[in-house]
Amino acid sequence: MDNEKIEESKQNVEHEKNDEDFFEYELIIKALGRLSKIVKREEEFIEKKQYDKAVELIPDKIELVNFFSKNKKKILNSFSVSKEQDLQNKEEFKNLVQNLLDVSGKNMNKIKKAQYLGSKVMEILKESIQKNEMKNKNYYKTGKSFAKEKISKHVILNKEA
Amino acid sequence: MSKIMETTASAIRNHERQIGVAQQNIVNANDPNYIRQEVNLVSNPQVGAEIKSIDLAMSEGLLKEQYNKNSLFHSSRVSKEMLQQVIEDVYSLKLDGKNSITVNLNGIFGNIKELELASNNSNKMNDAVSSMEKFVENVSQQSEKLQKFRQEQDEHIFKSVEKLNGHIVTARNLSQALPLLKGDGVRGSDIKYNDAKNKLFNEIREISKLIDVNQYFDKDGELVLETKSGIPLIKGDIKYKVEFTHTDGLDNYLKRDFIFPALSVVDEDIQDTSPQFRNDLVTSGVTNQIIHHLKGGELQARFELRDKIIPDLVNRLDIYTDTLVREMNAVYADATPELGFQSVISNNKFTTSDTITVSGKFRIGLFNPNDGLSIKNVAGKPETIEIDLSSGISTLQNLIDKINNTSSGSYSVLAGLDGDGHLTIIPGGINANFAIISEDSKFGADGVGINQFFGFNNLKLFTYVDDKHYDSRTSANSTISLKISDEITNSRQIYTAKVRKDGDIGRNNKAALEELLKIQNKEFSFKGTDSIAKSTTTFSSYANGIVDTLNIKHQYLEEKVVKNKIELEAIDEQIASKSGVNTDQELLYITQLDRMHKYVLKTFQIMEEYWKTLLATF
Repeated sequence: MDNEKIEESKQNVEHEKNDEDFFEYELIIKALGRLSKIVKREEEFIEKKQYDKAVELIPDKIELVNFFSKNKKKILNSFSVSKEQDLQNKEEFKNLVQNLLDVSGKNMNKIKKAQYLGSKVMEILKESIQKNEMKNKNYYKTGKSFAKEKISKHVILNKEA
Repeated sequence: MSKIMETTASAIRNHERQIGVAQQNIVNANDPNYIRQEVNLVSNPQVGAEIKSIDLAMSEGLLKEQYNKNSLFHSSRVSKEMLQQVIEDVYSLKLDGKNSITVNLNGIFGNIKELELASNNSNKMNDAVSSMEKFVENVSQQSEKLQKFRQEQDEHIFKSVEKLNGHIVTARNLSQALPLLKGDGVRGSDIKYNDAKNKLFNEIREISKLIDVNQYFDKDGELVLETKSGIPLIKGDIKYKVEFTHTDGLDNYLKRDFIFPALSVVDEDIQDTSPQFRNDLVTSGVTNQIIHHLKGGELQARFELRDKIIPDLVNRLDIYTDTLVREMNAVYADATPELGFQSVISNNKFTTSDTITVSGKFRIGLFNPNDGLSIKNVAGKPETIEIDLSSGISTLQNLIDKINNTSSGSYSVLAGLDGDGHLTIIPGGINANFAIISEDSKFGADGVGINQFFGFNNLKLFTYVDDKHYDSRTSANSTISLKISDEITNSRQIYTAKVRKDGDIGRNNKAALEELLKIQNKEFSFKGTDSIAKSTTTFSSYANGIVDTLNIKHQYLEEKVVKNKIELEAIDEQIASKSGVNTDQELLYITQLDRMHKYVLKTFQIMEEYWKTLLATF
């Protein structure tokens, strides 16, 4: 029984060790760097309106964002304010976070802009079509609809098609 | 946003189903120089007809949207900037920071709260009143600055209206000249026409920055420009002009005493300014409220600020300072010491060595026992003997000596302990009744006023009951002392701030300040801790209310500005670009953008959380 306990405790220690290793500064920075790269590529794609390519980046991004979301406490606690090296690391980490915040903020605004424009264009299209349909439903003075026979001068038929 | 996208996308899909096809090739859409209301359809043997392009209608739609966004953006931008100014330069009412209301209140109530622990500390109370005085002075100055800022808006409005009229005249002239400039269809012959049209749209764009507009061409192809509420600005050759009735009578306008148009559209050729010949944009109407028909543009922001936001804030400040003074007075009334005898503590009989706590002064009035009228001195005024208790009295013997050694010049009273241990006073060498009166009591010219109190020729100043003692705080066991307390309590003046008259905006708080100055010089002994606690809560909630309102308004405007800016830029870019619009592509984009937005937002939020924590801990 005692041996089992010792074994279990050893395993726990091992886990903690792994956990600590996992939250090593280098690894965190690497992950943050990867996320930065993705967000920057996303920025380029949005700029060029290559949304399909930007969408392809989403799975990778979800993975990293979820990692940073779930481990926020552990990551932030991994910096010890008493150690000089940790303070420097924290400063670097802070800069990376700020940069990520800036770029993703910009991307968000650009996406909002594109979304708004898309919705507006669709709205205008819809209105135009409605307007056009209404014009074709005019009634002749006898009260009979001549809409089918009448060719609206506002509608130009492309005979080539 | 995503919901709007879905709705729009689905609406479009339905339309596409209706016309039988959803095909690509909506191309070459955006030439802002050319406007026609046409939808180009392509006949398709299989499905009937399909959209080839709606380029020209699209341009017009985008232009309209540009004017609309222009108005909204400029309105929110100007509002935000002005509110920023109110917050930073005038108000200093931020939640944090040196001059914030919260800090000011902490300064004041921090002092008062200490009094709960150390009663009878008049210095601390005076400190508190002094802080309060300073604070009310600040609020008063802020109120005045706000009033000034409000008046300045009139100058800005005046200038903006002049600018607006200039653009209206230019746009009207350009619109009238357009048919004359139209070329004969030969390539290049429309240069002048297109130039003029460009200028016309630029003018409308400028107008839309100042006021909300709706622009369209009527059935004769003539330009119509009107506000969103349908008030015309350009229509045919009618010379419309926006008229701003200047600040004369502005106060009356705000008091809503009479119908007073502040901004109207009039026909320059009609001199009559009767209501039927003008279209009011801003007015105080019969409903007794200021009515704004402005829906965007700089003018809306300035009128909102002048007529709604600033008066509302000034009102809040007025109510706030008013309540501040009232509550302070209530605290003061509780805290004001009962002048005269405060406590004499003794068991059984009083002895001359009993300790006594006294302060202030009390007076003894003398009057004739036969007719009840006051005895007059040589000057013909009611005779009183004033006993000053402010120094040198710590025992009952000291008090007796003080009373016995004080005279009015002609008369005196004698004090002493009688055989039963009661402290009594009797008139000295005169047949007179007398009464203990408070310091502030006034005699009538004939001394009538004194009779409403009480008169004896052998007055027991303090009595006792076995095993009990006199304590002025409970006024137990002394009828006379109780009456003194009541009289003094009644004569304590309770200061109240002047109540703001309805419709009176920007009350000068100096009156309230003067009242507070009166309080400052009084002495205090504090008992009203409940009252302080209540006041602290009341003030804090008032102050927080004002600060919250401002901050929420500002935050809301900031978000609105960002949103409007993004949308305006989107429209501007689309108008400037020559790229086409493809419905299928747009629909695909909508879905892609929706997904992207979701995850960019998530990234932003997570990084924001990290950033906030890092800022807080590093």
